[in-house]
Amino acid sequence: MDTNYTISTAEFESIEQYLLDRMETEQRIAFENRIQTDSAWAYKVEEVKLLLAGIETATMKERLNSYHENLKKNQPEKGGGKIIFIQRKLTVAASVALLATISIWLFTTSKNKYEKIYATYYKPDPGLMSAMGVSDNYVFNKAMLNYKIGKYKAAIDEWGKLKTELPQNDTLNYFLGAAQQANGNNAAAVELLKSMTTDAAKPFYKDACWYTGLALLEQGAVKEAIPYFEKSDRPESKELISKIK
Amino acid sequence: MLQNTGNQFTALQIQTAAVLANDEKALEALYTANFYKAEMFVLANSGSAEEAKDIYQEAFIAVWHNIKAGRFVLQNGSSLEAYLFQIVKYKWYDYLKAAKKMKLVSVEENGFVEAAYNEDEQHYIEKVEQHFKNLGEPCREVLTLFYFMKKNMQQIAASFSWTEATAKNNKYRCLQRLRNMVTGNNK
Repeated sequence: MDTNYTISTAEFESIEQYLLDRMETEQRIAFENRIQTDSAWAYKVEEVKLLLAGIETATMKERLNSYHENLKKNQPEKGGGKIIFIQRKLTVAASVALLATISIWLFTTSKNKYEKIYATYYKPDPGLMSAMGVSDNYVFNKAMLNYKIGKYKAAIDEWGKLKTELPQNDTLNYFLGAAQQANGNNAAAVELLKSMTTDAAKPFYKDACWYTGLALLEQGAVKEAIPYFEKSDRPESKELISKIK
Repeated sequence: MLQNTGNQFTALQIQTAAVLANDEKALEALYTANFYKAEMFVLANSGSAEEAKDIYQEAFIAVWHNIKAGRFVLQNGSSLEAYLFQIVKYKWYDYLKAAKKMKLVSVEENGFVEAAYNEDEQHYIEKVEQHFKNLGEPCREVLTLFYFMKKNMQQIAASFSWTEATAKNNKYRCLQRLRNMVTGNNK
């Protein structure tokens, strides 16, 4: 492809308006006439079209990998087989060892049960695009972008730094908690999200209740989790509570 | 998941419009809803988990391109999920044929037509994808917000604490920089 020509800012702007379908009818007709009669112009339009297609496709490919990671993270664990195998091996062992095995089995089974429920109901908060009261917009939004594309560790690092400057910012605490949870650290998530669940007037109150409940559930703190689900007002909370009670 | 909130549009029309607009929730929901079915299909037809992921993502991009190119025709009873799964099957059979793992595909004729670019155009797009990764954070973010997430200049300016004029200038500078990397000239 011969690309040995310049495309000025004004030309970029005009071509972009056309490709993004933001032209008035008359303007569009004139633009299309020029494509028909001016081959150099037609080349430029074609190149910008490919440039924008490349940007979108590159971003989409990044997104697909992030969706895939989320999918794998939320996949219910396939436990149990190992435990049965261990039990078989221990059939002739002493009664103390057998009791211990049964205890482990019971513990693991119930843990798996809650982990499975957690995996069914947990979906990361989709995130925000506006800063909503966080003064350092650029840093906050940069982290938000990382959060939205599944780079949770990077988001935690960036919001973590911001938290030293804004320790009481509710938006920041909520999303730092959300990122910790999405990154698999529910203990840290509970600590941050819980602070948002004491006052129903706080922003994100209901969401914070829901995610605190889920984080507690994943850690096996079922009784403690239930009141949070009740306060969350989520349509699926009743069904979830009936499964864990 | 998107819901049909009125009588004027079907759920499929709303879902297709959302995919067309790169709505993150709609894209992720479509990806998630179909993956395991597609994986099972590939695993049951001489494929590995890694191949399943690759073919699924390739099919997903093809669906997305076809929606953008107006090649997905909305019909009663059709669904994007079924369309995506059909493309996974076509692509997997094509792959098996190319890899000579399968002698003949007689059951499934490949009726799928992908919105395609010629070799030169495809090469250009691949170069854009490759250089986009090395563009540097602020530029990648600005271009992603505008071209993928469809944010307007006002929203982008607010995100970076810039004026709208600065945001606009920076966006074109980034686009120009990317073009220079792709074409290898500095005009």
